Amino acid sequence: MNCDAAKERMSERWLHGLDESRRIELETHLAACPSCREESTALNALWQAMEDVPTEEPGRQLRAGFEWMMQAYRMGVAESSVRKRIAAPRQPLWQLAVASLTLVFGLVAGHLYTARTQDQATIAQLGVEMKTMKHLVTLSLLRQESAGDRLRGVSFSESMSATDDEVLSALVRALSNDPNVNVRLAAFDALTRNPASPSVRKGIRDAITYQESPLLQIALIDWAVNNKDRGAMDPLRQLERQPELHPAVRVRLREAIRSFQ
Amino acid sequence: MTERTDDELMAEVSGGLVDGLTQLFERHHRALHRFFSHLTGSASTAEDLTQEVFFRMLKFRETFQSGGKFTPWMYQIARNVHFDHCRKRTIEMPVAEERKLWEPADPSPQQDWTMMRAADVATLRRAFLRLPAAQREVLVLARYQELPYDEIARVMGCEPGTVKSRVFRAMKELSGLFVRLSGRRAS
Repeated sequence: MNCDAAKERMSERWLHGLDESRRIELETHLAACPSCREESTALNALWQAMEDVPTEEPGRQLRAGFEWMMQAYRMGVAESSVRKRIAAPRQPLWQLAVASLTLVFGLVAGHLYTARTQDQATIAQLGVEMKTMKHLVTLSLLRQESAGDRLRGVSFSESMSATDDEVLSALVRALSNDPNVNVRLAAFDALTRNPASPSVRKGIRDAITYQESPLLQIALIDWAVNNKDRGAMDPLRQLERQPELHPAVRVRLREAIRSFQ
Repeated sequence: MTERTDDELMAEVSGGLVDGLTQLFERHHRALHRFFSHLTGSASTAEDLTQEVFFRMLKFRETFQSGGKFTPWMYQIARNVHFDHCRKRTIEMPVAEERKLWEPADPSPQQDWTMMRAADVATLRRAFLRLPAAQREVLVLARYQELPYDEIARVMGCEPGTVKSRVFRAMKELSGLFVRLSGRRAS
């Protein structure tokens, strides 16, 4: 047995063990080859030591996410089968009948709806409750451990009123501190829908100086240029002084500073 | 009544009876989570990536060939998910840092591992995360997932002999990285 074959045999032993004859062949080689012997001792011990590296158990979020996915899939299938069942009739006479019935139904329903002011008040109240619930869900999702959930929180925030200060603050915090760059980018995109808010402008300007992802740096520079935000000049100059800036970011940064001058 | 095998369940899912995926989730989500935890060093990232594997199983269920083995197919999906994850991370990883991670390790490290302390375990974990992704994958499949070499070969699309050599090289690289990170000298 040569050294290459011995190495393959060592590898085989780690995972499956060796039968008697193969083990003796390997031992014979190791007895005669000091270099392979040393290597075998060291790597065998390392293989054993790897057992001590701990593994964490998955959290409840994983199961919840899986169940959510299956539910969404089933709903999608159910919706498409309902769509198939209520497919529009093909005969013109039937089409006319269905259209007339729909019109009559709509008129009656509309009349009933407008006549009941009490119902309108209830609907308005439901709207407020819905808004509050969206607000809470968004804030809660943004605090989750899973990056996927935080991303869902950011997308949820986009369906909310632009003036929800608490959500805006949470998005600014996500832009500043979130460990996942995709969440930071999504939070930035969500914030850019409110360029008029002073806290948003401040959050974005602050982010220019400390974001390390080239993708985000370029997005922030472009935002400052497109919004003609002269207040971003100082942070941009600070960023320019960073020695390890990505070359593509440096080029974009110089163009931006030139455009302000 | 005998329990249905993974292959039978996945064949059903592939045919449109997706409820079988719940049983496959029960059987495999821990193993997948462990796979990604070792590869990425982050439990929360592992959760996201495990979730993504089940999503892709559902989305691409028709690509499962009945009669084919479920476990290699699942790990092929998991490897693709990990590859996409690494590609995204490379975009944001500073170039200098990335170069540091891929520097070759000491080619001839010899180390007495018998007295592993907690600090050594932490260093070993760091060293593991600095291995190139392909070496991490083959080691996780062999050491932590305990897949037989012929199954690893099916997952990686190569011969079992090649897997054995790759495992050996990865172990040697890991040993070198550990020595470098712990600042120990070869004995």
